[in-house]
Amino acid sequence: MALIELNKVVKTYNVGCENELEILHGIDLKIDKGEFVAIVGESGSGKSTLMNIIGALDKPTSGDYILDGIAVAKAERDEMSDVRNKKIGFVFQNFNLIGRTTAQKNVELPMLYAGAGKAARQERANELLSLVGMSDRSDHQPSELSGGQKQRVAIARSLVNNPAIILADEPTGALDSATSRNVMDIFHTLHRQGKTIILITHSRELAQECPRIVTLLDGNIVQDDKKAPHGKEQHADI
Amino acid sequence: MQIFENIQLALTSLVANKMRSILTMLGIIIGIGSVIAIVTIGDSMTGAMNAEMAGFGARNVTINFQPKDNMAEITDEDGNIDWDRYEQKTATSDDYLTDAMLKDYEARFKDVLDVLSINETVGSGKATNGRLHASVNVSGCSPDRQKLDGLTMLAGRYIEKQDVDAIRSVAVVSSEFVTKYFGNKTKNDDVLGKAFTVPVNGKDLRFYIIGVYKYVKPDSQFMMGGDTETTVYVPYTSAKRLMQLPAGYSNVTVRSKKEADSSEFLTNTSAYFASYYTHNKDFTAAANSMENMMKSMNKMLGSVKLGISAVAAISLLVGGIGVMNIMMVSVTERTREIGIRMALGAKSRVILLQFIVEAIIICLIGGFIGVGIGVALGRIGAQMLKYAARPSVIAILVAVSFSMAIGVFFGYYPASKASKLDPIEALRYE
Repeated sequence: MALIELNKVVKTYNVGCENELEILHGIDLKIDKGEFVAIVGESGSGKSTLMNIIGALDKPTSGDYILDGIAVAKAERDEMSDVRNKKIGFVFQNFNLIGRTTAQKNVELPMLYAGAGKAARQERANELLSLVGMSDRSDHQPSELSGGQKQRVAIARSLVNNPAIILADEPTGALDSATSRNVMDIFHTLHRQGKTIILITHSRELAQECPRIVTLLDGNIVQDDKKAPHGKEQHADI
Repeated sequence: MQIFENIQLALTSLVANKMRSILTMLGIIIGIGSVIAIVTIGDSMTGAMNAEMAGFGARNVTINFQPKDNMAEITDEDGNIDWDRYEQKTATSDDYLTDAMLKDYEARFKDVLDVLSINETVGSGKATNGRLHASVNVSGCSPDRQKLDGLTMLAGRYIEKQDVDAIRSVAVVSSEFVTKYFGNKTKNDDVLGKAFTVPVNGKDLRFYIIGVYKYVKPDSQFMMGGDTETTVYVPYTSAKRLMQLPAGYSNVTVRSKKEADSSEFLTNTSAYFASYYTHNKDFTAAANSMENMMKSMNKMLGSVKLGISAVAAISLLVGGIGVMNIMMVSVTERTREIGIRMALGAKSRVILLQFIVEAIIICLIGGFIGVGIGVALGRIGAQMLKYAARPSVIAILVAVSFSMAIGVFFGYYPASKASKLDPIEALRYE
């Protein structure tokens, strides 16, 4: 069974109003464990809406969404919080680190909401910060970090609860090309280690790096290219 | 589970907005501070007054001879008083309390009666001895007065029946008087038999000292005024002759034995003396006790305190609204942060708790500062009024829990607003 399964997902805004607007027109999408998928589309193609639904931030107006066996489309608000907390690791374009809070504390946050103890949180945060090469900056606040550093902290944070998928929304959008390369390399490494990664981007170039590219246009999937898997090894989860 | 993190978070955000936090707390500080200050001063006042009155003898019942007032007769339906018909009555010796009344009273109440003391106020004056002087208040009395006032003799003796019967011009003075009038090196024993003169109401009164009692400094100046005026006791018969008053008594103090029921004693005493005056249309004798006066005084003070506290409570309410306002601002400012937290899996109640804790922390810190300022102000106030300060522990506990309750109450709405935010919109918020 697929890790992610969307069946005829429709999203309509302002249901019943004069300005009713259907953004997604029945999306069918299956993503298996360990895939690295790019979802590309121009702005207005509905990719942000799709990301919100996959990320359990929003519910489809109709259709089903099953994530790791959980029917997210029918979940209550608190259940959706749990799904986001345990199953999804978000990486945003603008990093979305919490200000006046150290890198370490930012990384610990999802674990705190999961109810983990202090010692476990610290150990895990240290481990992940060293994985993204940010050990020496763990006491820094976001305002003291560069864009690339912030994004690396955000990636560490996305991994902390060992989620089923990493959902990256334009993760390199606010970075220069060198730092972008660095961030993409981290994603490739994670992919090789067996992580399931969904990359949402408007950049074809970036999407080309991914083994599978799903193209969205005006609320429909118009293309779904899968390259032959090569050099993919199964590693232990981080 | 995340209380500690929440407290830390709240403190971080308070420190980040120092000025704003302090201004917000100010409302709570003023509210709590004024309540504590008022309660402290009020309690100190009540405490000092009660102690003072207890010192005077709570069980003492004073029978006062006084004119019946004809206010009811001369006041018309609209409440206007016809002062032309107001009569100033002059008492004759028939009207005063008599020896017969007192003897009969003593016989009838002998089981419960401890002390019966006759008092005749002469007046106050300043006795001068060269460059030395002492303020005194001359009081005519019977031998029982020593027991009533709880006097300890340091030299000589107190006024006895023979002094009263013989209408002697003798006096018992305080040790303070000896120091002030004769100089501070004078021994109490040395002044016995010496005479002194004190002008009262334009008359020079001369007495021979027969005894010196130990002066006890009062706890506060509540009843005394600024200058330490000490009492000179003289036989009441001498007092009456000096003041050229007719026979009979105008002021008698009685005290029940410890085991007697004091309120029953007051009722019976009152009824006993009133019975002599039922047919006297101009005068009466009214009995009242310190205990009774204390009760009504405390009641009055209590309502004053309540009234001022109500005003303080309003300032607390205003402070609470200030907290609510600033929490609304804080929620709006941190919309994006709330969105991030929700995306990372924070449930609604976690967000709710975070903001309520922040509101509580503001109020609690404000409350603690308020208590500190209130106690300090209360102490200063009590000191200025010359009472021993008694900060009320209960008031402090109530104030602190109340400030916490304000935090919960006024923090709830903004916190609930935060917890109900849509994570997508919150994340998009700039």
